[in-house]
Amino acid sequence: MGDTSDPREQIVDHLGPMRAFALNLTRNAALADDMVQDAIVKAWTNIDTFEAGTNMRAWLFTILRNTYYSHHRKARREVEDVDGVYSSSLSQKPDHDGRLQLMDFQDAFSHLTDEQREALTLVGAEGFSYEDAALMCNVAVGTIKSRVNRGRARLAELMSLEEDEALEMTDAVTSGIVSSP
Amino acid sequence: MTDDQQSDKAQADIDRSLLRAYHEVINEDLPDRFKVLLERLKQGEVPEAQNEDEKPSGSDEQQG
Repeated sequence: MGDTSDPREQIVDHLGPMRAFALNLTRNAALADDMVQDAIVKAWTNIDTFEAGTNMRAWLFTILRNTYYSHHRKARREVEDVDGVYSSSLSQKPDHDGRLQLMDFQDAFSHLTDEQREALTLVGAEGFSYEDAALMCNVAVGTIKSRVNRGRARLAELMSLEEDEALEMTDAVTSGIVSSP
Repeated sequence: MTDDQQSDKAQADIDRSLLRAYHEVINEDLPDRFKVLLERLKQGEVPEAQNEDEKPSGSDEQQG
């Protein structure tokens, strides 16, 4: 027997990941929440285009990323955490273990391209397959793999520069990261 | 430590940081604005877009 419940009731279960994805795209907490709000409204009013039984999170993420890129094109400028809103939110808990390391990571992450942050978030953080991520981004699977690998390599490079210790990234190491799946 | 081991460690560190940063946001309490928004939608209201005045897009891209 099929599920007859309203799929819109499930949207709330995906809001946390949607906010995290939006924040990784925009690097601006206020803008991220605006993007999520717009995506919720679009999803709610277009729920008839959602196919029951398919991956709702992927559907919502697709709407969210399209919302972001639409806004991004209109703004015609890079959307960054210019006010330090997002960064400051991380510094509100200075006693947290590894806080500084996490801030270093966030700083390095912000230097990636939109596409690299998006691919790393979808595959590395959210756990989508390369194939699903490629569908969501409307690009080839190889393109997603390339973005993930280049993003990882760039992060490794940036973080090694920041840390000033250990992890001296040789060409061989960088090549190893780039060639890993 | 060999180059491969260094590479594995670097990648593991990056993935761990990526996950940690991601889940830190996920675990935050949701702002009230979203609860209010969902209630309004349930009542049939359709709030205006925050950043766009465009027709909804992207919702026709179905994922399997």
